[in-house]
Formats: sequence, C-alpha cells, structure tokens
Amino acid sequence: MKRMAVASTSGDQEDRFSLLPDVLLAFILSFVDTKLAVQTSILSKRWENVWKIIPALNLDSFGFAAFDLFIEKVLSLRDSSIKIESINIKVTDYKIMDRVFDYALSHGIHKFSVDTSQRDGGIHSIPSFRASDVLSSLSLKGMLELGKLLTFKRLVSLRLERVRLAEAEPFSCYPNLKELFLVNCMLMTGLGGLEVVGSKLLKLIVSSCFYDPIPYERIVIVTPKLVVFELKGLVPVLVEGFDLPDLDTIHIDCFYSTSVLEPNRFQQKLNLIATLKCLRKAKCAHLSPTTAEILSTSHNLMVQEKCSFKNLKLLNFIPPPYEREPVDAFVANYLRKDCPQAALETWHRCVGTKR
Amino acid sequence: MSTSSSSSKKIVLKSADNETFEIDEIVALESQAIKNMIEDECADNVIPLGNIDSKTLSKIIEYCKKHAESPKKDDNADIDEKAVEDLKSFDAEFAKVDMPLIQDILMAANFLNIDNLIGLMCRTIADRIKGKTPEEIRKILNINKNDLLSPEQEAKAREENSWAFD
Repeated sequence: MKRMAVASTSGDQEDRFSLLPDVLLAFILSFVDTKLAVQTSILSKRWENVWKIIPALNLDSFGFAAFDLFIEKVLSLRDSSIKIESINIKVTDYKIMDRVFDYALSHGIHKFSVDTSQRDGGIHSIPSFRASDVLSSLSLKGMLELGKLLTFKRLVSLRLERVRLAEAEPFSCYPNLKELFLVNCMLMTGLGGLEVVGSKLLKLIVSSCFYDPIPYERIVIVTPKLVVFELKGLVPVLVEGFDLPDLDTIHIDCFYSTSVLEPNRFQQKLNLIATLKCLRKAKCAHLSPTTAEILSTSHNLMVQEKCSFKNLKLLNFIPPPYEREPVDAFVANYLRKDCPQAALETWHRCVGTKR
Repeated sequence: MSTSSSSSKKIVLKSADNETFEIDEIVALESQAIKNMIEDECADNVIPLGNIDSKTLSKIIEYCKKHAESPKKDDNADIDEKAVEDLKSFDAEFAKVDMPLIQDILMAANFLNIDNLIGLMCRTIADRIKGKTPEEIRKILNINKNDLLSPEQEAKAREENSWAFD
C-alpha cells in the first residue's frame, strides 16, 4: 500500500489536496468543463499543470469567441503521453465537430459524445468511412444524419437523439452493441420501416414524442438477446420482433396521435396490441396510464389478437399524475390470463386508497 | 461500532485514533487494498490504518456496507433498476458532507483503493467547483496560501493561457 500522511479532521486549514496524487486531481477535473480545468492552472503551483493530464475533455462552445483556437490549444498543449478516455463536445460549427470526431477516432478515444442541438437548421451528415477498434460509447444529438459506413467493432452503447437515419437497417455494423437509445430520431423519407439488428443487443429504448410525422411506420427488432425494451411515443409505431426468449422488462408508454396524417384510431389500437404480442415473453411489464387507457377500449381486439403475456411475473400499471378511473379489470386479467401467479400492481394499491 | 451476523468471517480495522471497527469480510473486500492483503495472507486479525481517523473510517465503512449489500451490476444478468436507483440516492446522501471530510474520504479511499468511492468523491468535488472563479475555488478547496503563484506569475499564466480566460 502506498504511504499517506495522517489526515486529521481537526486542522481544517490545511490543504488536503497537497497530499493527493496528480492523477486524482486530474480525475476531478475530468468532470468539469475543460475551460474551467485549464483555468485551474492559476489556482496554485500545485495545480499549474494538472489540466494537461486530464483523461476526459468536456468542450462547450458556449461563450467562446474562438472555440477552434481553444480546442487546438488544449489538444496541442496537453501531455500527449496521457491518453484521453472520453470527449464530450457541445458545438454548433459542424467543421469543428468533424475535426474533433476525427481526432477522437485517430487517438483511440473510448467514449465520444457530441451535442449540436443549439444550432439552428441545416442537417449534417456524419462523415462516413470512419472506423475505430476501441470506441465503446457514442452519443450523437442534433440535426445529424447517420448512414451505415461507420465501422466500430467494439461499440457497446449508442445513443442517438434527433438524428436522421439514412439507412433502414443502420445498426448491424456494430456487432458488439449492447445498448441502443433512439430518442426523437427519424427515418429518411421513403425508407418506411426501421430494422434494428443486434445479435448482442440487451437494451433497446425507443422514445418518439413528435406528433407529426410518424418517425417510423414500424420497427422490426431482430435482437435475440434482448433483455430490456422501452417504448415511448405514438401508437403508429408498430413493433415486430422475432423470438425474444430473454426478454425481462418492458416499459410501454404509448398515446394516440391526433394528426390527420396518422392511421385511424382502430389501426393505432391494433398496432399497440400487436406490439404487446411481440413482447409477450416479458417477465415484468410496466404500462403507462395512457397505454392502459387505450387497452381498456380494446377488449375485443386483445382477445382476437391473443396478446396475453406468457412468462409474466409482474404487471405494473404506472400511476397517473392525477386521479383517474381505476385500472380496467378486464385488461389486467386478460394480460395475466396465462400467468395467474403474476403480481399485479396498480396505483390504487400503491397509494393504499380505494381498491 | 460493530456489525454482526455470526456466520461470516470478521475483519477488524483500527483507525489512527485507535478505535476498532469489526466488519464482515465481504464489506472489507470492497477495498481492493484490503482484498489484496487478505489474499496474500498478510492481514492479521486487526488491520491498522494509521492514516485514517475514526470519523473518516466510519463513513467509509458505511459506504462499503451499503455497496457490499447491493446486488452487483452484471450486464448479462437481469438489470435490477430498483437497486441501482437505491444505490444512487444513497450515494447522493452520502456525499452531503463538508469539503474537509470529502477530501479526507477521498484520500482514504485512494489509500484503500475503493474505485467507486474515489469516483463519487471526485464527482462531488467537481460539482462544487463548477461555474466558480479561480478565487472562489481556492476558498472551496482550501488551497494552501504558501503555494499561490506570485501576482506576476499569475498575470503571466493568464496571458499565456488567454485562450481559456476570455
């Protein structure tokens, strides 16, 4: 074990940081904006060069007159023998974004996250023909367009927000993907349905709250290892999947779309029920109040489509934000009809009022 | 302070101010340094920690107990979201202490090699200096006045790094 001087809680005036190794000070600075990290160089002699060894960069163009100069200075003055693990960048200039992305890929960065959502207008294609053997986590947010020509063999986690997908089947080039988040993304016009192919995918979260247009007419999931699935958004989204034997937890929060462009309500109900049927092997199902409401007006369709769960252990009706009708008993019973032992949770039992 | 469940093996830790803490071995194993000592069989019945006072040590044990009890996250097993949430809120409460104690915990966690706790303390310190000026940060971190740059040196540093101070 390393030697360490005695730290006493009584002498509060002493500078405890003088006893910490540089890597820990640098670790602290890896959680703050890199601009602030550089500014700590004037705190004291001890801090003069700590920023040069930080393992993570958090770059934010907000308030900068010369953000590109700042980035060049940081990259050129830092200690190049210390590897950067992750880069987060908030930027509106796509040229700077591409520059930093290329830097990240060519310097073996493990985590890269970019946010261009402060920019007004103008969609930008993520440069294609990029590859990395070490990138494990990628997050893109903003008016970006993602094709298929990125090869990231080790990518484990991918998060896309407001990104336009230029391919109907964009994810099979990440063979190790375990987590996929699609937040308010859309498909390029004309592609129709989205296909999520992931032989190792464990967690899939699709959240689409735009009213118009429908982000995906349907989502086909080819994810044999899937454990967690969350769907939030409009009923026009129809999820079809092949066998999902390991499915454990699902969260479904659907609501009607009122846009005239959408399929009629009957079709929307049918989509929701078909989605549930595809997820029938789930062990824990969490359904939102709006989802329960749609089901409560779809008794016949539920029976006709046989959407009851097969391996259910818990059926949870998430409490509504305000008082509503109690959970429809038919819905609760029908979904559990093949698994009568499954626990049922409703808000009435949760808050212990009327039953 | 002592914890007991008679079945499991016990480890005794002794603080700088000679207070002893009997804990389950599984709790002590949260510390990679103690784990190594036990594996190398160089841990006696009592492990003296001559550089950690009892106040700091009892906080660290509180942390290790909670984390040892909590189911470990394994990406192939079921993801127990409730346990993850519970641990998160425990961590948030745990970090609500004054800066000197945070610094003591960080130093001790570094010495005992408890990765998660090092991370928690570093994030907490980072949160407290976010958006602050260098002058404010000096106060928050209790930076040694003897170590300050001279006014000339500081002016020079600001000039050289002006690209980060505009």
